[in-house]
Amino acid sequence: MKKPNCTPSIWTEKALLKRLARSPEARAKFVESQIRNGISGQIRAQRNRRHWSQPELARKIETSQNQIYRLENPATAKPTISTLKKLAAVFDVALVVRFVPFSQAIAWASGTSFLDRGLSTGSLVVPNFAEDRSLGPNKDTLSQREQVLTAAEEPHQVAASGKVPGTNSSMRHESLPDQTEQAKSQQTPSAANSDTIPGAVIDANQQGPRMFAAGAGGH
Amino acid sequence: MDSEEQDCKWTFLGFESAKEGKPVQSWFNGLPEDHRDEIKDRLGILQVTPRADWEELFFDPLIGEGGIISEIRFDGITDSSGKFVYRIYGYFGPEEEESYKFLHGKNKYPIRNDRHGKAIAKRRLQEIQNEEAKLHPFDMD
Repeated sequence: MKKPNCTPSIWTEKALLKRLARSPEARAKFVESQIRNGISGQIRAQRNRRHWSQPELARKIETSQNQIYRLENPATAKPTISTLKKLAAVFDVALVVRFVPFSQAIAWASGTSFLDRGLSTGSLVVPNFAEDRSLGPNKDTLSQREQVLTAAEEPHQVAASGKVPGTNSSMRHESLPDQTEQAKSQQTPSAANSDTIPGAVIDANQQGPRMFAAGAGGH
Repeated sequence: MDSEEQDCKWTFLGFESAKEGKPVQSWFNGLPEDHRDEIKDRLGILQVTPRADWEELFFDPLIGEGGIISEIRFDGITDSSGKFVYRIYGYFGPEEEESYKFLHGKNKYPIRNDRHGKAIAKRRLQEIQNEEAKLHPFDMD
C-alpha cells in the first residue's frame, strides 16, 4: 500500500532538545520512557510479525505468558538484559545495549537518520550533559544549539553543521576522537560539541549496515 | 514491506468546529509539560506502528460501542498533583490516508467506563460526518 504523504515525527529535534534541557530528571525520564515504550513495542511487533501468540513466545524463552504480557505492556515492561538476550536469540536479531550521547537518542526518537561510527574510544567514553558546552541546561546554550539546528537546515551550512556531505541533509555523524579538535576548529563555537550529550539505549536490531534509519521501533 | 512503507508515519488530526474551536488541541496544550511528554512518547511509537500492531495495551477498538470510535490509552501518571489516566478517543481515516483523528481527550481517572467521554466523541464524529465540523493537523509542539 502506498501512502500519499509522510508525516513529520511527533518529536522534532528542537522539541527534544528543549525537553532534555529542562533538568537531569527530565533527561532520565526521557531515557526511561524511550526504553519502556520502545522495547515493548519492538517485542510486540517482532512477535506479531512471526505470528506467534504470547504463550508461544513464552514457551520459546521458557517463561510465562504473563511475563510476555508484562514485557509488551509499556506500563509494566521491566526487561532484564538476560531476558532481552533470550528474546534476541528466538527472534534471530542482534541486541545492542550501550550508553550513547543524547544526540544519538534524540536522532532516534525524532526519526532522524544518523551514521554510527562503531566501536571507538569515543563510544567508550561518553561525555555527560554537564560536559557539553553547547548543550548545557541554561537558556543561552540551548539557544545556541537551536541556532545550529536551524542553520543546519540550510544546504550551504551542511559542512559547518557536522552533517554528512553528499548524503541526505538530515544525516549526521560523530567526529572521530583524533579528528575532534580539527572539526571543532572548523565549526562555529556553538556547533562544537553539539553531539555529546549522553543517554542510554537498549536496542534490538537486525545486523546490517552501520547507518541506521532512526525510529521509535514498532516495525 | 518496501522501504517507503517503513518510513512513512501515521498522521494525527484533531476535531475542529465553529462552536468548540479545537477542543482536543486546547486540552492537550493545557496539560502539564511532563504529561504531554508521556503522551507524545506513546504517540511517537504508535506513529510508526503498523495498524495490525495497534493492540489492547495502548489501544482499544471499543467494539462494544458499535461504531468506529476507538481510544488510545496512556499509562497512568501519579505525581504531586494527583493521579491521571489519559485517554484520547478517535477513529481511523480511510486506509489510504493512514490517519487517526482525535475527537476527545481527557483524564478519565477515577472512572472505569467513561460513558460521558465516549458520548462526546460520538457526537463530534457525527458532526464531522454531517460536515458541521472538520479536522486540523494536530500540533504536538
